[in-house]
Amino acid sequence: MIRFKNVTKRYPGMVRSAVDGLSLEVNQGETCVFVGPSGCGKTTTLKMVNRIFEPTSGEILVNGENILSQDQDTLRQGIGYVIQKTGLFPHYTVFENVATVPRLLGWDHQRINSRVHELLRLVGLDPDENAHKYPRELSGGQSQRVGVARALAADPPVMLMDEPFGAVDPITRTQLQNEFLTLQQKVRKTICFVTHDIDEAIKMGNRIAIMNNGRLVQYDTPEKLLLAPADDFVAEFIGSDRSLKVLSLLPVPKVLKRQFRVVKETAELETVRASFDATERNRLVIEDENSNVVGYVTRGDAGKASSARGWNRFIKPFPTTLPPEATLRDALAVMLQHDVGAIPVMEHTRKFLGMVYLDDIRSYVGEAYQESEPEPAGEGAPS
Amino acid sequence: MNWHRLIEVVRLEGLQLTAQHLELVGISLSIAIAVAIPVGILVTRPPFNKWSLQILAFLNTAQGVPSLAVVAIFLPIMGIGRVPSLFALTIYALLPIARNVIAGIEGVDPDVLEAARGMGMSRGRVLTRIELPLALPVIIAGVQTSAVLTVGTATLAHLIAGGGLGRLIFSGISMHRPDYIIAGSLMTAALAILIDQVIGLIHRWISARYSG
Ligand SMILES: Nc1ncnc2c1ncn2[C@@H]1O[C@H](COP(=O)(O)OP(=O)(O)O)[C@@H](O)[C@H]1O
Ligand SMILES: [Mg+2]
Repeated sequence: MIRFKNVTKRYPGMVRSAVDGLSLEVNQGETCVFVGPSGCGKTTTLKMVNRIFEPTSGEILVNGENILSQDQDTLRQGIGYVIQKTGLFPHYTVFENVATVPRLLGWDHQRINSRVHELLRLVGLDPDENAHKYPRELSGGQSQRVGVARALAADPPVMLMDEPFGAVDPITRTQLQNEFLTLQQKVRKTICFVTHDIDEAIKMGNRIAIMNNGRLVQYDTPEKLLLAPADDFVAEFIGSDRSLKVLSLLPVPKVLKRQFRVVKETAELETVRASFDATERNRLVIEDENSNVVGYVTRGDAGKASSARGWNRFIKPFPTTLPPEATLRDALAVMLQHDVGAIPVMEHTRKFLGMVYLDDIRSYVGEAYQESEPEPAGEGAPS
Repeated sequence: MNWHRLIEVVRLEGLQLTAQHLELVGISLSIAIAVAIPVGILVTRPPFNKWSLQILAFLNTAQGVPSLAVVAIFLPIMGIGRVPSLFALTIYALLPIARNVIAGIEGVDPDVLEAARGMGMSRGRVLTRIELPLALPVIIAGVQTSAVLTVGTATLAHLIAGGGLGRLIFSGISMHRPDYIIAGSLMTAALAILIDQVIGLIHRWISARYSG
């Protein structure tokens, strides 16, 4: 979708190339995050895609077509562009800002009107309340939302985003990141995203391009990057807590123990005992008539029960549960917080899916590191 | 000298001279605006924009040349009369406007320009839709300065037979008639204040609309 072929950019009068022999491909509908220390050439790379800068050598293809073969303004109208300082037009209302590219494309008034309203809702701004405001009346987070809406206005297949959430406070940033991930689920743009923040890169990227001194050092999925950094520079850039970071990429279903005996709370004691006989585990998950989890009983408690239905009073609720989209990092945090070694995972309907165990998290991560690091050099691999 | 004589002077000659004065100011200011805006824009376009800072510095310095000197410089070249007066006034009025056109356009937030170009606006559209509207308050402030300055400078037109309120002042001086001098000065000052206020009003209105 976006293809860099041996792209080099050397600014006039500079000894070193700002971007040096960059080759990579961004797949359709994916987010490629360019990350690296300040001055490594991220912004230059991005701005060559919409021809704000021309490469010194090499070529860039968008949709298989060399960008130099297209009219510059036409090319740009088809590429959404979001920058850190938003660059909103101060003398235009929110509506007029978002309508910029549709107006360039000569859309009729009706179509522009409905598109702008749709987009403002998409980025979480009430159109009635905000469409007629001027940029100076918006908060930082709202300005960035308008910037994103403006870039999406003509539904361009490609988006370029240069540190789009870099200028807002951490809480707003997290919020904007999450909203953007949800938005991207819907719109599926091909995105080049620049940041200097490795955590943001891990969170936002399908693939991450780590750059240093104008060169591409590693181009991989976030998981691969964390488990198998290409060299010391990458390892250091990711940080010594990379084994913790990888946890935030792995969803709990990866380590879920599913073979659990689930017993209805209306069952007879006989059934409960039989279930314990058939399993090694010391707990049974109990659900109600509608298959909603109500809690658990332990093997010991079941032994104390005497009457057929008296075991019911030994049902204990789980102190905490996790949704299936939780990450291992969430699981670990909750385990530490509640001082437990296992947590049930259930759907929002309270249907039981399985249990996640502390030991399983440890061994899963350990194995992942061993697989990707065949040499015994074991920095960061947990024992 | 008394109030009656003052009012008499104003009534007999003042109104006609004021009209003449306004005409000098109006014509030279109009030409100055018509010339300074395109020239100012040109200076901010490549390849001239490389030197825009130097040009700005030159215009600031040129502004320091006394108005009397400007009139004197054009005397030997263009002789006397209405046209040379207008010419000298126009040159003088150009400077603050051109300066503010350049400063106003150069002062537009580079991020705004990058966003505009990055979205595929043509250079011409960026100029008319983004740069000029955003520079407009600064440009109008330049016109305001220029207008006030020209009202004062136009009194010198009388020295090269250009007419205007300068005639009251300078004949007052040569004929030892303080009433003439005072009437001429007061009317010139009133005119300057009036024009300043009117353009100031426009300036405030535009700023409220376009400030970022
Ligand atoms: N317009 C420019 N002219 C000259 N040098 C530039 C220009 N833009 C960037 N550079 C230089 O190119 C290198 C890469 O810059 P940039 O792409 O902005 O890095 P990053 O976005 O990764 O911080 C830096 O050394 C920077 O000083
Ligand atoms: Mg940058």
